Amino acid sequence: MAIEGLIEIATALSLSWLRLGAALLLSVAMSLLVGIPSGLNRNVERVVLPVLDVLQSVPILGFFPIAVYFFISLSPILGPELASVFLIFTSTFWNMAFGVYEAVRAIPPELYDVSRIVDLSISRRLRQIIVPACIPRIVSQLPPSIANGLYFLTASEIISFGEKEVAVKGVGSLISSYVGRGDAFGIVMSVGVLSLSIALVFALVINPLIAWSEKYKFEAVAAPRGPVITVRLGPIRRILTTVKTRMPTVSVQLHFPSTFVNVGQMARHIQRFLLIMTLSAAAIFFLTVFSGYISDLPRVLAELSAAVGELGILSLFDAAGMSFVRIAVALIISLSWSIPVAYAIAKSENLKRYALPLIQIIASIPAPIFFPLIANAFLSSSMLVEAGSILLILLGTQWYIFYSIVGGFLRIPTEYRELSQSYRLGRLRELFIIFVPFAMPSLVTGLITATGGAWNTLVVAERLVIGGLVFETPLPGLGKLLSQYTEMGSVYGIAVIVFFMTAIVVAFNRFIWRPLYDRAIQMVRE
Amino acid sequence: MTTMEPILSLIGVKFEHKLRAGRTLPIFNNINLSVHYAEFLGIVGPSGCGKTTLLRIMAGLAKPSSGKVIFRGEELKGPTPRISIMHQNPTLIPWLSVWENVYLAVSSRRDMTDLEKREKTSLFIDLVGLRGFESAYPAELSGGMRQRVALARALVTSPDVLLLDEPFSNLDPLTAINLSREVEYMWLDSSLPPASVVMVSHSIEDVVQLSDRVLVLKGRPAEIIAEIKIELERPRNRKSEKFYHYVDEIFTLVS
Repeated sequence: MAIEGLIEIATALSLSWLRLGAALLLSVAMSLLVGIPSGLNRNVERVVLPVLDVLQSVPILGFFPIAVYFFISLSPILGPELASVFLIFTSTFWNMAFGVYEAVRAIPPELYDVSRIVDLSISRRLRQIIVPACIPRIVSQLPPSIANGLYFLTASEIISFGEKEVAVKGVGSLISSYVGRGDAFGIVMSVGVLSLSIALVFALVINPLIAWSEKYKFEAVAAPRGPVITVRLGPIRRILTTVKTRMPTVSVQLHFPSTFVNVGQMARHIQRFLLIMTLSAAAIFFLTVFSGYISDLPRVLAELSAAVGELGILSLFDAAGMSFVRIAVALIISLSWSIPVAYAIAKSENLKRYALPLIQIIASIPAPIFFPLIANAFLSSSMLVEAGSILLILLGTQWYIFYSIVGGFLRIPTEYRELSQSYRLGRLRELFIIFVPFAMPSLVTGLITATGGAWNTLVVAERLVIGGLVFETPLPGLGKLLSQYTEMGSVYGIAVIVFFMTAIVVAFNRFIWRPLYDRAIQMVRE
Repeated sequence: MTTMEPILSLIGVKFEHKLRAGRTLPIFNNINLSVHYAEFLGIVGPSGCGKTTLLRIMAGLAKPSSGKVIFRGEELKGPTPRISIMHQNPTLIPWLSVWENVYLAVSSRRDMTDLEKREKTSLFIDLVGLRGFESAYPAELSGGMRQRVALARALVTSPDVLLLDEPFSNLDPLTAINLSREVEYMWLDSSLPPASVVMVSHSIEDVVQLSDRVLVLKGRPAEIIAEIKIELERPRNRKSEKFYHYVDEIFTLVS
């Protein structure tokens, strides 16, 4: 039995990694396709970034209807696989797209001037300047993407929607079935083997990739930039301004190139063309998927308002409030351990070299699959389930905060770190007079990503269904609500909750994080 | 001006950068030099020869791979408030005011009362000519004023040795000359810190203007290839023939 079990686990594991690999490749390709035009062209940027930002705050369950109606009805055989890859993609893509966009924006303008002077062709510009410039950011986004994809492992392998339940073969669905059968040996083995495989993937693939990508960094050759910390929050800031000013119309003017070929202008035309193609493809996609709804808009509206009535505005706010408290607690815990640990790492070469890669592996071990192991302990009291829910949120989001703080601390110019040495400021004063303020912009960026991510993890953290086990917070929560409505298969209920949740995230960014970020940037500007 | 008593000396200092795969890049193999009491020492050399590294070793901020740094008869183990360093970039903390930036340097001192710390802070802000700007933030100051704040911060600890790393190269020529005069004035005044100054610069004119003695650093790994005593009356006239003679001599050695 043991051998057979191991073979089953190994097969499932390989399939899961293959799907994750496919989703990551798709994410890289799509983020280049979307990120490069947005980084190069203001008009594209104004359209694409808000769309990305809104979609990024849609939790994975929000994509279930598309996965079910589009992919599974497309082909009963291949459909489930495609749907699963698509769902993984929805948790690995967004950060990468923003990464590519920021990398393109950060290319020194002098480089474009040079390429114009030596008259590089567009494809050469792409191959030799733009794509290489994106490589470090793409590679550095792989760990968070993998961690995120694994976090929703079970969710993306068992797509249940109302009556429909489709499970693809994979380690997530396998663990779920072990839990259903009460096979403790199977659970422990598969969780163990999965953790081992994560460590191996990081040691053999990700870390070498990170080392290789170093050579594409502009920072390696550029002179030290002085004290201004160059963390940019372009996307979020710009998005928020656009939300206010409405989406601009994209004007298309395809001039026929004159005899004097202006490469720059042609590049712009081609980008514009690509953009139009992409946007129309997206539009056609959504129209096909939702054509049924669009044809009878009044009915849809009626259904939606019925769903709102059924959910009740007050109970929506009530659930959101409880969810907010859980997230806030998780954020406070994250901050209070991240700051001292990041400080210790920034102060010690050895910790930087050995602890950081280790933490990266730990960060990507998916917390939800451990829950069956400690199920009995948690299910014994409702207080513990509440604590477990906060723990799940914490495990899913604390790393964003931790890494942004470490990044911020490590970017403090040496001369400033030496100041406190020279004047013997002592640890506490060094931390709060020099380190924390310097890392503020980076810290706020981390908080934005973490809160955004936290709202997404709610769909698993507040109501986790594995096999026959259901961990459900006794108090209300938006994630719990969404999970319940997905199980019921209520498209309109899902739409209302997803819209509500997205609105909360966008409002948070607009009214809390953005002003905070602006102040932080103002503060570190010398 | 110089006596034979060294205040700071490097003995057989070797420094190498660690590269990947266990390889090392030697910056210098065996540097021996002394800074005398009340001396203004200039160090020149082509860019990339390790002048800044040498200064950081003198400050105790970088550890030599081998060899020793002796400060006032004892081995220097780490940075001390008695040796101040001022960089090309003023490195002021953006969220602290001028007064707070200067005060920061003495804030941890146990041998001073709070009143003394405050009085000294105000005194040095006065001395660099920034009275009235105490509550301004670095972003509100010009480049020259920021460098003055950095000077006040470097001197408020009453250092015996002031290390200057390209202190005037980010400033416009007029501001640079004014500031260099002030540094010279403070150094000449024996009631004010610092006793000795070491200045690294690639502006040979600045070095000849201020130094008693100039060391020329060159090669890879770098060595001291020449030592020139500048015997000119102070304040020095940049237009005199003798001045140009020195500049020429050093220029030939560096290039």
